[in-house]
Amino acid sequence: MGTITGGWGFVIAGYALTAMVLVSYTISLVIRSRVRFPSPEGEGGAPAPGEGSRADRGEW
Amino acid sequence: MNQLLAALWKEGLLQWNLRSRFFAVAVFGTTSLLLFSFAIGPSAHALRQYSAGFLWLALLLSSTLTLSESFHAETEHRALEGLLLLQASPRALFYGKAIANWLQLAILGMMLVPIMVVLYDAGTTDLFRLAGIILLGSAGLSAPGTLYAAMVTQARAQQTLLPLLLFPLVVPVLLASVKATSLLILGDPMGQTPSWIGLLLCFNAIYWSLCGLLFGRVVEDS
Amino acid sequence: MTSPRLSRRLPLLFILVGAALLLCGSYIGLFVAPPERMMGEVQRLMYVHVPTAWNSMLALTFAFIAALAYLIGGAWKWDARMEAGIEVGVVLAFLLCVQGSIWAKPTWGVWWDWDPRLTTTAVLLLAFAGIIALRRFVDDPGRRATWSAVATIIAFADVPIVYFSVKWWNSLHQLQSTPQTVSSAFHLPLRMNAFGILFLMIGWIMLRSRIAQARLESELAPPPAATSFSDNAHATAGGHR
Repeated sequence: MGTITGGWGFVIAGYALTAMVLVSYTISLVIRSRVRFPSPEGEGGAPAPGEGSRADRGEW
Repeated sequence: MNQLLAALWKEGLLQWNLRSRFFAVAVFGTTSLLLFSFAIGPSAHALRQYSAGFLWLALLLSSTLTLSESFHAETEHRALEGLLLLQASPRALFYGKAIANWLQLAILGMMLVPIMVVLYDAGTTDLFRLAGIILLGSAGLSAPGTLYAAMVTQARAQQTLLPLLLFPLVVPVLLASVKATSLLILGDPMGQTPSWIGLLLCFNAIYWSLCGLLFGRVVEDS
Repeated sequence: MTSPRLSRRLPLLFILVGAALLLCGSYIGLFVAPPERMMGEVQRLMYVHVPTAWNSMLALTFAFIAALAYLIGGAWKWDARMEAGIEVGVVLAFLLCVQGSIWAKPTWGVWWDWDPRLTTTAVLLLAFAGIIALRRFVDDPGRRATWSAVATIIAFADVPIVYFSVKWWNSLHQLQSTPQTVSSAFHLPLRMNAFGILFLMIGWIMLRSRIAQARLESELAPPPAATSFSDNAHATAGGHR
């Protein structure tokens, strides 16, 4: 009793969209975390996120 | 307290000098009301039904003009920094500016009422309550609006940022003001108006204190 | 020396565990749990909708706490965390609105039913998206941090007010309501998915904070001593915090 027409279609749409958003945001985060930010002088080699960034700066 | 009075006096002078700007905004508000009626069509019944909504939308749109302008005088010759260096209390500055904006919006709202009466055939005899609702609603727009105006004057893309930040925030004010005004115009058989007014009072109590508290942080680096 | 290595991998670990939990929970929710009496198959959307709701509010609450922490203490890491919390919260809130819309169509016949929780989410989404826009338009890191922290506090304080006002407003028009309770037969997939998205969210916030922190560090970096004094085009931010 009480079925709603097209139920499974909406369920699949909902799950698919959810999966798409979750996966694409995760991928975008992983990609962005690998990007290096330019230093103020425009030279490459700005510290990578995470380890050792402050130690690197001391070498300048 | 003295600082607050001084700030209010300054605002009064400022607004008087800039009264032509106020009239321009009033024309804008009137034009908006006219345009809304074109969007609905000449159905007298529909226009009357939604008149409260149109009034408050027009006021909301006009508020972006008045609010974003409100700090221009202070930023023009870096007057804000000067004021703060002279140890003016940021809180007095905020409340002075917010009260000035509030009065401006309230006067604008009351000016738009006769336009609403004419265009939408929507009036009420309970003018006292209507004035009260307009005062409360304008206050709700003014407190966060003044805070964001201070931020936005110092940033880029002022015209887009202010409505972007303000509009989602004042949804409760819009809802409550529109409902309360609508009940005044169309009748309130179940006596719901007091609860909407209560919501407006609550919003104002929270935001007038919160924004006053936080204003100092917003202007401190300028 | 393994500690930096581990901390680098930690977000990805959270994400993987979260994804695994989500896959299991969704599988159970889709194929194992029985359909609900009244709503039929559509009810299965609740297994992702409710966890998304919980976690989007959680992310925004985290952003609020980070904003407070920044305004009180002034450490840059709290600004980075707040930025992460806001972005993750916005992504989840957006997802929530889309899911809610997909749920509403077969149930009520309309794409939007002005349900108080969903409407509040939409307002929240716009408010915090506005804060992301604010951050883009302010260049000075100190000012950007302070202003967006203030805006976050103000927006967050608005949440209960918006919720109650929409609830009142809506109750005068509609008598429909979204299901509040979930009967016990459905607890397992719901819980698994809730933890799944929670772990995903934690991993996301960690990664995103890291990105924000890296950008802050590059913005606040003092110029190398080797450059000449005449080369003074860049004003480094006066972040004394």
